[in-house]
Amino acid sequence: MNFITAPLKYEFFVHGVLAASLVGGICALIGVYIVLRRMSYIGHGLSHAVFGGAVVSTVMQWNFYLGAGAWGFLSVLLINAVARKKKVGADAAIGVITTASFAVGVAIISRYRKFTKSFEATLFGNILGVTSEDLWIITIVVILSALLIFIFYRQFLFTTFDTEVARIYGVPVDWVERLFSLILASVIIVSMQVMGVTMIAAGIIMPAVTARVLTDSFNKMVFLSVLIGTLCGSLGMYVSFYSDVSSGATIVLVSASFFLLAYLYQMVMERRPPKKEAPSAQKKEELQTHIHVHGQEHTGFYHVHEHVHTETEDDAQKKSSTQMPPRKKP
Amino acid sequence: MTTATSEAVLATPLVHFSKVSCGYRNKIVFEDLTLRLFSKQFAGLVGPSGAGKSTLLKSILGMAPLLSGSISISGKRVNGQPPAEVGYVPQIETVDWDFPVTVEQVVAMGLYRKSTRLPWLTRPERMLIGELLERLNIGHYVNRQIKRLSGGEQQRVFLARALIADPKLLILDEPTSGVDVKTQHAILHLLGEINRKGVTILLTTHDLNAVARHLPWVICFNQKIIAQGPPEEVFTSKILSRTYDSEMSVIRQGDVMMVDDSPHEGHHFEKHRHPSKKKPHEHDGAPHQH
Repeated sequence: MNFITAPLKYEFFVHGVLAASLVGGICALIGVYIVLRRMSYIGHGLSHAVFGGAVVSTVMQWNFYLGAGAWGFLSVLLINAVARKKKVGADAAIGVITTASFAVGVAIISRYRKFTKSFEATLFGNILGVTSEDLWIITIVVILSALLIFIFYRQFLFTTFDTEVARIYGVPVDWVERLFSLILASVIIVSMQVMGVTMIAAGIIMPAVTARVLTDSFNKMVFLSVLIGTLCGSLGMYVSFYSDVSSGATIVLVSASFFLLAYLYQMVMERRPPKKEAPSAQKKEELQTHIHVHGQEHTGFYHVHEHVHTETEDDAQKKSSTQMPPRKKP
Repeated sequence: MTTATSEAVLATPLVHFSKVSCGYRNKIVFEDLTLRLFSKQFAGLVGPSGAGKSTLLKSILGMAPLLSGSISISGKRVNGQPPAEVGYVPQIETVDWDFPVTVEQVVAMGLYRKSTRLPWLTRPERMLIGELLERLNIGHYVNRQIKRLSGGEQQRVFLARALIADPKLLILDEPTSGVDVKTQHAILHLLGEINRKGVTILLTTHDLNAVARHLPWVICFNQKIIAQGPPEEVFTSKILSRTYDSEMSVIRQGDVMMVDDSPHEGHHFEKHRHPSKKKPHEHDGAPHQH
């Protein structure tokens, strides 16, 4: 137990564990939608795009969260707009916009070298520097994002499942997409300090993919993903504390271990012989029980036997088309 | 013509295309189209790939750019907004079968306009879904992931999603593609039953023989209406060849009609043309009220 409680004596660690768990959980929640939209690369790309916004807000002396947040939100809108053009796929749109945005940040840093140190923290995370104020901002963003996803659960699910049909059924798809972009940008901004630009993508994707491997139910996937993300955040912090390795890296490595375990479990389950499903009540009704007489000739003898057996209509049809008609009793 | 269709022709049109031109940038898909679809009608839209069938369906749903003219449903103009009285079943090939949703969750999507918008399903919603699934003989699959169903069952799930909100008009994009022949007939038979309960149905298909067997009304379409009417009148070598821009043959023996739906060049033949049948309605876009 001392192993768990010992680091909690340090305020920076308590802040770090809380921040990592909150960020891990919320990244995992939005990760479900991103993985199912097959846009896994967007987390990686957007974190890089936001880096450009972070640099610009520092140079322009804007509020970091507002400046970088607005930059990230505009980047997602731009990605969605470009991705709608059929000639340019979503992956290419993410590649173009996010790398261009990242390059803006790099260009400004190389022009004003004095920021280099603080931007290293942005790139690789600096969880030890999480202040009470940062923790409050993270908590507010996490609660608001989770609340919005909860309130618009049906809209997000339908839009993620089939955007075009969702529009036909009256879902305000454009509005839902914009809301999701705003949530995504906000989550990435608050996650930057914990995980760093280079690791955020893993925090978004890995718990969701792990949950997907484990279940075929959307609700369970959401629950498992958030649970795994939160666990990875706190476990990763402990590993970071005891191994003296960057927290962003340990969180991602713990997530990767979870994925590996889930993948191995799935492989084992797939190799097991499938369970025979018990027929449902309706299916049972379809089963016909009847008595009939078979006349068959085998091993040179012709004999008749009477028995009861059950068969579905399909079986009966299959039999009648493949079997020779019974011979008449000699 | 079935009773439902006979009644339908006397009514005011449920869907009315008035000189509609539709298209995308640099490409007009169809021009000056006038078409009426009557209440309780069960119609199939046939034509070659690229003829504009899907665009026509999308235009009814308010999802295709209208260049001129107007489309109205129950007298209300469709203005780029999907009409509430229409249920839509997409091609099952476009569905992401790996998506982790259950049958119940998919059907609940169809309730979007009527739902309470709560994140969870309410008890009346669950009951409504359960009853519909029972009627469609898939009641025992409520909690099953959609990939773990047969082709026919999958089609029924999406049909349930379209029917759950009690639509007046049901639009289906190639409901018989990607399923075996037995399932094709089961689906069309089921659609016939739904139509007899008063739902107007418009579907697209490439299976001309299934249309001939199951549908009371067919619209031959290739950027314009080539002909429309009962299949036994419309399915002639001449009309089908015009529709598909290729030689097509129709074989008739008594009441049985068979379309050789592999277009071929060369011989143009039609065997045993039914003597009692009227001449089909051939026209260039002008509507015919039968």
